[in-house]
Amino acid sequence: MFSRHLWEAEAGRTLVHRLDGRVKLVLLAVLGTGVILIDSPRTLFLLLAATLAGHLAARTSLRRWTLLAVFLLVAIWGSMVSQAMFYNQEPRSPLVCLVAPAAPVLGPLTGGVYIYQEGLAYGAVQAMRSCTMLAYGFLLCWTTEPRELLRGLVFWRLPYELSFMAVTGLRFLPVVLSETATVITAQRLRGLAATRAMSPAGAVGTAFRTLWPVLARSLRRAVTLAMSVESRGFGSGWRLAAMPPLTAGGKAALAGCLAAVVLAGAAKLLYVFQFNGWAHFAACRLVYDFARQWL
Amino acid sequence: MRASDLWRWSVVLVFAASLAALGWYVFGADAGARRTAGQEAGSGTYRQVAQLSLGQVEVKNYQWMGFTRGILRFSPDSGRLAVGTETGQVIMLSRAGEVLWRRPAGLGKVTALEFSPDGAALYVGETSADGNMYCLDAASGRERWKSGLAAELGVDIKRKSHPGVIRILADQAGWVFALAQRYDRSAAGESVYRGKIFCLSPEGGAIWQYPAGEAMDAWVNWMGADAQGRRLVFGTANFDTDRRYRYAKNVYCLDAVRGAEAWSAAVEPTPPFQRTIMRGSPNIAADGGYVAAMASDGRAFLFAADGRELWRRHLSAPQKIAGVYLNAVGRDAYILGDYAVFTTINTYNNANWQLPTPVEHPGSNSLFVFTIGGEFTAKWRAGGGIEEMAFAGGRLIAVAVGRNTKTKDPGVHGIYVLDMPNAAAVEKLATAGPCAAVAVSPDERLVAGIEAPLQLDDGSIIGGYRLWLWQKSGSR
Repeated sequence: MFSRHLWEAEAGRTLVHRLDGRVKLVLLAVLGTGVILIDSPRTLFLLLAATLAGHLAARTSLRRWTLLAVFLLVAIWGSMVSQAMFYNQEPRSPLVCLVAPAAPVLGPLTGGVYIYQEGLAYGAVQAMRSCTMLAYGFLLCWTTEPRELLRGLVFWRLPYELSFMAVTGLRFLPVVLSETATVITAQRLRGLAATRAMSPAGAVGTAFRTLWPVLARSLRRAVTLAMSVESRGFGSGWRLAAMPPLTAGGKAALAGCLAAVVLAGAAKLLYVFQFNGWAHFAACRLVYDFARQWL
Repeated sequence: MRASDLWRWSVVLVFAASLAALGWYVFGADAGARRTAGQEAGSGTYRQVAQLSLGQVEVKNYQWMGFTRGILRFSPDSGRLAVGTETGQVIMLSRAGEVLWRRPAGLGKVTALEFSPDGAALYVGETSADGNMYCLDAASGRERWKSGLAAELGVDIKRKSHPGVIRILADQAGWVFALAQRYDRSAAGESVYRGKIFCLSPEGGAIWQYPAGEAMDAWVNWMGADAQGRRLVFGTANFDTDRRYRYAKNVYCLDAVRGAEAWSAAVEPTPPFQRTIMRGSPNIAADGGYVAAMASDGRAFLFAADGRELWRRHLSAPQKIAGVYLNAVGRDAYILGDYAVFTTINTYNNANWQLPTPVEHPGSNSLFVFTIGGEFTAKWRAGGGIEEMAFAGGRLIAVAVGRNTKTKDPGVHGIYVLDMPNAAAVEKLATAGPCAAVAVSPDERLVAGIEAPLQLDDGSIIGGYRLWLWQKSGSR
């Protein structure tokens, strides 16, 4: 996990690697918007599955799959279990009674602890939203060189300064993790059992002992970087060389994304209008039915 | 394989399993059909053919007045079973329990199902802003035609007051009768009812409407027809006591050929009630000779074909105990050959149904059989609410037994098969949760039931929202 190479982009010849960075960024925006607007668990699951299929297509290594799996497992189980137990909306249907209201001590105190069916469903939806973005974020970072990302962001009219900061942030993440590993190794050489502290107090102590050196090194690195880019005229109108126009395939992918977003957005809007009682058009019944089931 | 790789593969496999479980939860939970290999049920007369999960519904408890619903209809040739679920699906099964097709109702809620007399078409009524009735191809589920019947009753999408087709009947000639209604509340808080009956040709063409040019200002919850489609009967359930209704009578009989009123009858209320309410009746005999009706106050009635009241019986008269009136609500009324069958459901406090009652009404949760002449023949105590009855062959009655809100005994839940005319229970097909619906195939070989989940007072959940299909394993 602390290996720098585990977080950085890796060269490859797969279709995912060859896909234009600009298209990947548009897909990121589409997915980000989609997972917020879509409420259907089925569609969200399909989006998550499609993103994971992207990892398969990109031939993500076992080590990276492990990292991704750990993050996604925490997101899925954390969200579903917590929402299932603490869901407070109505209606809520208990699936399993963990602590009966009549149970001694805990029963009267909690009024009963249940796994709620609606909470489970809500947790699943939230989990799939975050997992989709997490999985796609990893896919983007692992298959796209930071320079290509920077050029893509600039191409899509994001101010150069903001694009630079975003990509620098991405590049800093593996560096920080690598430095964390260095700090922990150094501490172990000095006799501290940093990674063996399983108790909460030990974990907090380790975190504090690790945090300060990593923070100090990060600040030092940031200052160096700032001076370096300032000395090269950062922010004074310097721009990247123009990118080549999108290929036909890239344009087609973008057009497909745009069409999907517009159509789904319009269907969702119509559904929201009828759901809230603002407008109902009998002729749009098929659209309503589709939106209810899939959006 | 190195230890680190083994660990990595383990993590990835756990993730794959979690993802598969999530996928099953998202896609499979609503479609879990499980065919069973002929397990014996009850005393061995029936064997279980299939069990089908009908999706996830809100789990209700004993404090709910209404309960989870479902609709079951066998095709006239007993070859197919149509299921309408609370989760908004129409499912067609073979008699072996295989799912032939599914059709989501989308925005609508499935509120009525009926096969055409030749079994080739399935009529589906929905409650939605469009209030459609659909005619589907029974073999494929493909839509043949649809009609926005309930559009004439208006809609208020802001208050979600939607029209719905709540009962469909088809006569032997193929004519289709659809009862549509809409409930709303006026600005003054008064209940506003709109009801209408439509007669359609098998192709969906309008033949007549009742009443023509307007809607009934009455809550019409039930409609029955004779086999030939010559007479149609319906009752009213107008709850507001201070209001004057134009359709104020309790039993109406229509000439089903012309869509005109043949006769109507007003039944005076019985104390302490101020209105006579009919929610699950009346019904007319297959030959049109008699009309049976059951009022919520526990009175059973039999009318002649011309509307004369032949007799009435107090099956669960309100009883005043400890200063409160107890009432076992009367609901169903059917005529089976030479007998009239009436049912009652749970005991309620007349002042407020949510308040407790000290005892069960002795006439509650029971099925009563009378001869057409009015002679008491039999009484069967179900132990729980009689949610629905189904008939076949003139001698067999299947009863779906649900919650008993007073004794709260889950042991009564299930489908009971009774033998007429003695109403003797010859089989109990037990289910964990309360039963919400029942159907019997015309060949008497199959019994289907819908079970609902129930939360007990200790917080535990019993049962599930599922369909049960049993087949008779031998002749009795």
